[in-house]
Amino acid sequence: MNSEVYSDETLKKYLLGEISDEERYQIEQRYVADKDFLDQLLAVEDDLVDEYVQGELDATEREQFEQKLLVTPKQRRKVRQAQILLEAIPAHGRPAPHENIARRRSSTVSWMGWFGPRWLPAFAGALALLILLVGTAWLFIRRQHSKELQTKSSSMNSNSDASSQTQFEPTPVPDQSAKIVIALNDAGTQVTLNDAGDISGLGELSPADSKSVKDALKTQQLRVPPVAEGLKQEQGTLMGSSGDGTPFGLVEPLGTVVRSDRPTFRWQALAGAASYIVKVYDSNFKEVATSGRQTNQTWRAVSPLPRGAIYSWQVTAYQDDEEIRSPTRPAPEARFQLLSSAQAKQLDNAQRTHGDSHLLLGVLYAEAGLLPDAQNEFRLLLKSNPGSPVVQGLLRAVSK
Amino acid sequence: MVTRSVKRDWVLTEDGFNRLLEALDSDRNTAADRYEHLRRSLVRYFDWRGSINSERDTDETIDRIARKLSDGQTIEEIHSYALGVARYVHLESLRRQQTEQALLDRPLIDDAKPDNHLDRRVECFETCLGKLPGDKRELILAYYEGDKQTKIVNRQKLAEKSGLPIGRLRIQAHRIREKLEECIEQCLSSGTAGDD
Repeated sequence: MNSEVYSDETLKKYLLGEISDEERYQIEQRYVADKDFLDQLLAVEDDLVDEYVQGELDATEREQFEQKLLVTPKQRRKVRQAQILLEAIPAHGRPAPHENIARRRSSTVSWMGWFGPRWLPAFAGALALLILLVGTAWLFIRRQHSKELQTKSSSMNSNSDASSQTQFEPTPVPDQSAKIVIALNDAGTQVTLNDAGDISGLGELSPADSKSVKDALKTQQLRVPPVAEGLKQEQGTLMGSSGDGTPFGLVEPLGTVVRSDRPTFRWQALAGAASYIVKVYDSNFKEVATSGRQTNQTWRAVSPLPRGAIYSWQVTAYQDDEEIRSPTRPAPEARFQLLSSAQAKQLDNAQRTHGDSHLLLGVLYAEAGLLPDAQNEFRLLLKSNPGSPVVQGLLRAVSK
Repeated sequence: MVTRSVKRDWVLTEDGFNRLLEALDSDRNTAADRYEHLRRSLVRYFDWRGSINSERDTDETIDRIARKLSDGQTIEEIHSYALGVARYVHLESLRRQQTEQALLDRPLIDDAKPDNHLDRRVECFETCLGKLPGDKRELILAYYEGDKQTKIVNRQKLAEKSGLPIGRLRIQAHRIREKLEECIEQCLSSGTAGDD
């Protein structure tokens, strides 16, 4: 067993997948054999998760985190657990409201004591003057405000109820008389859509996100971008190895939109192959990235690729003196598209503000063309809403 | 809905398990501890590799090791060997995940309960915190006290007070946190925050 001392920084890189294969193997060998070392690594993971939850990771680390440590349901649960701990622990020590009041009272008493009895008459006079001034100002403001309200309400529709001063509220309140037509369990609460088209339960949403969710709920149709649909059709052919131009199968990304601008490529092993090289091409067949010799069947692009473009990739396996490529004609190209910058930003925001809403994330993933992610979110939503025809419809819409 | 399961032609037998324990250590108690650690570390290995079912992949890995031992073969470096097997299991699992195309035929990949309202989470947190022994409760509360900079200073003070190097303190905090998270997860799943 190696006894090298690993810094937190190295262990963090291990967790984020930013480490050489050799170093990764060394670390894995160590933690499989050494209990304390595993705990050290897990403690670094705790810190990393906390930093993610508290928004302390930079953009690159955040993306790496989401790629590596926010993929599986278990990992997502860990992040949710961290949210609970980080919210609940600081609150745990805080005094209850009645304790605050008691504290305020006691501080008032000591303040009065400091003034002493001889200052009381002067203090009482000053206080009376202050009350008089505040009272006059309040009456003046109230009268002005009342005039404003009268002017506004007279210019409004005569049907508007005089008591509905909610019209001046900054946040629109759903029409209470409207009938709820769809109700779903999501984000730990109930998300509803009423027949007036108001959606509630998702908190603050941008107008665009709100419209997307409403439309999706009403129609169970999703605005999947046409390129993603086109890419998807090619997906199946390249996965298995055969004599039709795929001597060994490619695993991912295939026929899909990819969120990270440094995609990870995976392929199947070719028996007897000693190494592999991945090459990535743009739509003009210009090589934009290459892996160098790899012994594993996975490689992550070292530099970011320009967003929004469509790429194809090919793997060359080296078997003795032979070079075997996959895919080649007549198999289709292994293509994928990178998510645009604007959509990447929109998804980042949605994940930060509504990370527990499977409905919103599913709709946004579908609109970005991230169909497997959208499917996953809708499957989770279906689990919270067994048999819901609305959710089944959404799931079907991203599974065609 | 059709749930697909991994087809296995060999399952862990008592003999296989005993041989595995013997390979881990000649002392039965030490071997049991080592087995627990091996299992725990493999689960993490699969988690960090993005496996959607790390427990299943770990069981598969352990089964294969035990089978080799059961067949009378010897394993020199059991941890290195376990890691090698885990790598194969992971690749197989990944391939299976990717090729399972028919969406509705696939098992749901999240066995998480629906998210719970914050109040319930806090209720569960309080219940589980209350179940911790007093010294552990105090340690975890003190460990997470304060914001970013204060937290660092607090932890240094706490390490001094507890007479532990900071790294050791962090490991202790992690172990308590792990228990706490486990308890909260169970509490949220059971739908009751009451003491059980």
